[in-house]
Amino acid sequence: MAKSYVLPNGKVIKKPTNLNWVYFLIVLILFIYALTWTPITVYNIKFDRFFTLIRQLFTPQNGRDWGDYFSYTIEIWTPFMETIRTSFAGTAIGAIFAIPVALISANNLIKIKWINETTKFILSLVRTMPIAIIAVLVAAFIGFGNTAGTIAVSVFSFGILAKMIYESLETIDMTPLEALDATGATTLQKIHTAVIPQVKPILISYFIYVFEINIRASVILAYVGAGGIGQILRENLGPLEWYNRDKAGLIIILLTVMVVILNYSSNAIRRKLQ
Amino acid sequence: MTENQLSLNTKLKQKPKTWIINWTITLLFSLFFIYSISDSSINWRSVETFITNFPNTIRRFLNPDWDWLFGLEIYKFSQSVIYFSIETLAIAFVGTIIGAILALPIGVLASKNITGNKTSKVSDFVLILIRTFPEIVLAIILIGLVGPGAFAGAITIGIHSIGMLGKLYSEAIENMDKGPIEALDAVGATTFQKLRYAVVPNVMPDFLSIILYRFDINIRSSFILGFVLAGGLGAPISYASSERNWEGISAIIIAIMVMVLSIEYISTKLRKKLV
Amino acid sequence: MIKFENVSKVYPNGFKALKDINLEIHEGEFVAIIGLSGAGKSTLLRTINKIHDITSGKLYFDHVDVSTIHGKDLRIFRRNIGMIFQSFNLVKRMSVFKNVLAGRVAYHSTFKTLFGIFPKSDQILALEALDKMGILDKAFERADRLSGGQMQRVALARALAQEPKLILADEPVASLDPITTLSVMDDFQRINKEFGITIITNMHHVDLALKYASRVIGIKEGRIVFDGKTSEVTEAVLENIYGRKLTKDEVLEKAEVVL
Repeated sequence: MAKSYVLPNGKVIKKPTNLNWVYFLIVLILFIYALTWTPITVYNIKFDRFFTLIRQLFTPQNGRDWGDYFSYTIEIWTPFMETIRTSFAGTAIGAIFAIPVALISANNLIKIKWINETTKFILSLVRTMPIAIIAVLVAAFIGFGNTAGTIAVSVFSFGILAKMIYESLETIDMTPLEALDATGATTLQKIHTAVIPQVKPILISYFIYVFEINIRASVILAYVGAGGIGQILRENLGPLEWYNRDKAGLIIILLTVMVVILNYSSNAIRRKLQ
Repeated sequence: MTENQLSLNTKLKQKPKTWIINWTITLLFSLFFIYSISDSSINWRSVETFITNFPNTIRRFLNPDWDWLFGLEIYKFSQSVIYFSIETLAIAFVGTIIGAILALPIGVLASKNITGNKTSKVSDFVLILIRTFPEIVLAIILIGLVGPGAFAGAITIGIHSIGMLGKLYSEAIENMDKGPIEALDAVGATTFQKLRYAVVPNVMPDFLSIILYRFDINIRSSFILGFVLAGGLGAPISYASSERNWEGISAIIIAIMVMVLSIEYISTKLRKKLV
Repeated sequence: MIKFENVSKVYPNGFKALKDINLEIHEGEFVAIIGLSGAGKSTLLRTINKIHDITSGKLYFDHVDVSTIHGKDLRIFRRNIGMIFQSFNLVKRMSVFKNVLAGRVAYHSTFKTLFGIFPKSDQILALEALDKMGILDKAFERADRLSGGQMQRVALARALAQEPKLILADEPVASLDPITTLSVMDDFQRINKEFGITIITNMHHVDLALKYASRVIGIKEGRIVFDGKTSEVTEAVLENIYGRKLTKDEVLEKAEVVL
């Protein structure tokens, strides 16, 4: 089906078939098929219910006024901090375990291929688990609560951080290491002197990045029962609690504000580190 | 002292300052860390039961419920883990594509080199808002609108993806090679022709790569949304967990691993081809 | 063909890039513009196809005042002028063929070109242009898989596909190695002699300019300090243009210097 071009001077050249259209069709067909799995439940759309919900979320309910929001913010300060602590502790624990594992996985530090490949594969298995599933698993063992949440965040962070760190390690400048080799340094000394200084700024920036992810994830975790602000959010959103929905709305706003602030400040910190 | 020694001395005196900063930060970090883990609540009775049941649990765990996985014996296919897994995939796929298309105009608006400083900063802020609004809450709101099920999940993922995709689109546009644009200017192209022949071919591979990356992430989101009844595997795993159905949980984990690993593999391969 | 009358260009920040330029360039000439970096060579080139606007004086192209050309006429004006850049300015991920075809966009309305469909005649024209540059066999390869010299030839093919009367070249060989430089300059010469296309090029390497151009223009601090045949260029002239003796990298190693 491929055409050929014939030039006036007699030369002939074949035109390659354009595969892009084929790819586009495949995606289109897959999309239509996927749509059959997500039936558009149009008959269920109730706009008035939707707008009522929005109104309940963002205007004072049940005899409250705007001033009461301030005191409510103080009220929920503790669970709020709980969420932050879970995220922080989880990220830190994950990082502590991730660093040595990453050092082993990097193919330029410990150059034993089967160790590198196996650890990388195990890490990829860990990374397949969405954080909520890890939390549910942990909770099945030790019950829902802060600890379950922290452990889940730790495992999740461990997976992500280890990969990010070993990828960075594999791109560092190897020459200081070779120089140290020549002076007879032990592996630990080499790592401390030549590797750590190179990756420290990157590590800090990764930590902040994962911390941010974990704050958002903590809400989800708390939602499935691991304590913290998400629990309260869930309670106030429930079908029977329509008169408390404004509290939920406030939490949403506060959360959004917090993450936005974190986002901007982490960008600023990261830029300063570069 | 000689001049050299004087300047060395001043340099030495400056050095301790970074030392102090480093140690202060490390100290603060450790303190905050200890504070963070201090308030741990462990349900000790639950731990007790867990320890006594450990061997049994592990045995059950290593014996996944294949029937439930494939929809055999007493399970209909539409109740099987595989069915829910496909549903999860479908939700993520539809959501990603909806998000990818809707994010295009906003991503373009957020690019400094196309719309200038003011518009791009405003659009960027809008994108951040969309990105940080908790996905679960968005799902709940949408369930209130269209009812529970896969459709709500797909739309949630679609809207939430706009935030991240728009940001990545604008980064790709801001980083693109500007040379071909000048060349087409010199050829006499209209603005639209410049877009079509200098901008689009340059950024399209980047966009596709971004979309694939987002699809990967959205599969995990899709699981989580299942917890709030937006379709997919989230609900079954929640039930299995509360019932301590280790065989079932094991089956689900197998399904998740297979699905995520294979999509990740395909996605990595495709993204390499796009460079 | 091109006439500068007391042309000056002052940038918004006050920098005077061009001062009182008077110049006439005729069809079929091969003109080289030499001078220090920042002397105004690029600016001069870009005023010709109106990428930069002049701030005073008059600039004529084929007896038409360039400052009066706008909108659709500007497109028609520009499609007659090809431009070659130091960094090639090809779309790296597109095929060579599509890159060359892009030179034809000004010949069609926006709507027609929306779907990337060009008339058969355009496609043949593009392939012929590639053939003339000797790289027809690379037509359907991705542009970034080519060597530097080949990429510049694709750029030349793109310019040729425009069927231009004039080709402007801004340091076209500055990114190429010495041997490729010579063969690309040979191509310029061939285009000039065989197809009668006027060439105006900026050059960093003086000896190249002297070897290939028939006419040399020296620019110093925005003014023309020399304008004449290549044979009239002496070392004293060069010292005047550059304000000093030539440095080593203004002379190409393997080329012959004609003084």
